[in-house]
Amino acid sequence: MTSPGAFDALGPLADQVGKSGALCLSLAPDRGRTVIVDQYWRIPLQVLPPSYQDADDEAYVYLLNPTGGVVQGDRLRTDVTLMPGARSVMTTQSASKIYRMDDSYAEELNRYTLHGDAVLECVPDQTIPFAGSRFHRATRVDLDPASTLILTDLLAAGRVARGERFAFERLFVEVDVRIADERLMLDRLNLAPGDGAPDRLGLWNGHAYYGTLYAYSPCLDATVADALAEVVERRGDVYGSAGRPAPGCAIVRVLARTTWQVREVIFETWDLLRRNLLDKPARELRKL
Amino acid sequence: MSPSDGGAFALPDDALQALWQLTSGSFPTGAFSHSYGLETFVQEGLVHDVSTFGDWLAAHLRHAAAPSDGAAVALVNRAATDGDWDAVTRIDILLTALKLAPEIRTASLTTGRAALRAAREIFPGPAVESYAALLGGRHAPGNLAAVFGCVTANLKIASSASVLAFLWGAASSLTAVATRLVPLGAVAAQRRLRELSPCVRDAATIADSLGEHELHASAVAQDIAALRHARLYSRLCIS
Repeated sequence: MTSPGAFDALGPLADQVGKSGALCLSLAPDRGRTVIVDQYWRIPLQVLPPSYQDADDEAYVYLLNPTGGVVQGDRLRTDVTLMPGARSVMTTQSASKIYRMDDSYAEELNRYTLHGDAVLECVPDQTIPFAGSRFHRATRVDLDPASTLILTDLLAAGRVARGERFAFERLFVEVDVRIADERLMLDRLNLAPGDGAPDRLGLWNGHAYYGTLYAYSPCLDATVADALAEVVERRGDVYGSAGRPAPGCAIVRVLARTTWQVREVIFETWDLLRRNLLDKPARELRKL
Repeated sequence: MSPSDGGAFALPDDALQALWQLTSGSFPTGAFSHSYGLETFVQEGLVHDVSTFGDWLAAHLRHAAAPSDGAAVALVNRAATDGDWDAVTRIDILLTALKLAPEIRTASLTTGRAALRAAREIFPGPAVESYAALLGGRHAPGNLAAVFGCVTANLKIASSASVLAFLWGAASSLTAVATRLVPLGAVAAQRRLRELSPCVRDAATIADSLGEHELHASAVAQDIAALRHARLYSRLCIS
């Protein structure tokens, strides 16, 4: 994995003092519910034993970073495999805080592999890039044509309540979704206030919060994608919409002035997808 | 050689004329029926005069067109010049995946196919035919930027000049679209386009410097506008 050029110029991350966290999980169905069949982790990444909040087979898995945030030189790798029949909601315990960095950056690489009819709902808390931070996150998802994916990504412009907006140095966030190595959706956001104010017309249009939802399912048709767009567009208080870039795929994008508006819209669209694809509503995630 | 140092267009007259023709409004790509979400911004009142249109265009060039289509023109031009058709196909596929608003994805493929049909007649040559074969075999999707890169490679035009011409063509076409949609006075709109010349050159320099792993599209609100375009009550443009 090569980092985008803007980060390469800062020198190799391996030369930095930072935490090298890793988390490998494998989930499979076992006696009527999804369990973790194999796991390995290295601090600062950790995982809690699954809970079953829908009172069915689906495992709710909480990924933790007990150090409270990402600092310069951190290299975090997560690798999750879901075997056929496995169903899991993956979330975090709290927001990912990206702290100020002096002269280097931090990197988070996530890889999710779904086999057969596996279901992954990856709904982490928002990412907050603090003033002076540089962060590269790449998420790669390898799907089976029969699998189902719902993946959300919430970004804040900074610690907005303190008046800190777009004070980070650079943010490069990538989501790469493929089936059998064939590209379905590739989203790459490269934001650096040094390249021009990110809240200007056409970029974040004066908003401070951004959310995206990516979905795939063999059952996701144009009707579901239209319903997603309707749910987002009927709200007059946010700027967003949805669409179907390729068969089986959907994307939702929303900009808002407050964090709760983005969370609400992403929750509403997640709920709509769950009802359509999994026959159950979304639920407010318990935070521990 | 950077397009801004005066070197990019030190081209033979024939190559220069070919670039003018390729980026002219009369070249049959259908670019004039696409607004790339601008029509949504106009209907929502976010773009309502020359000044707001100029802001929209500058953001579009720097954060949407240059790092995706522009960078793809440069990469495809270099790969086609080297005869690396696997790389051409890979970049073309990557560019399709990067276009997440369905209307934008379709616009790029429709205008690309139209441009290729025209180019095979007007600028025939081995690179254009090699690319047409990739598209015919369903290996390459046929994005406009990929076609443009192959045609300029065929004409032995360097990537820096190719990407500058491509982005200028996009800016010019969108100015014509805005003149109709907003509407804007033709002279005022063209004056703004002229004022944005340095911005087009800067965008081209950035586009020409990006690698495959750096292609991106970061104009979030413009992408949302392209998604919202599908549901506008009345539309003059296809995208």
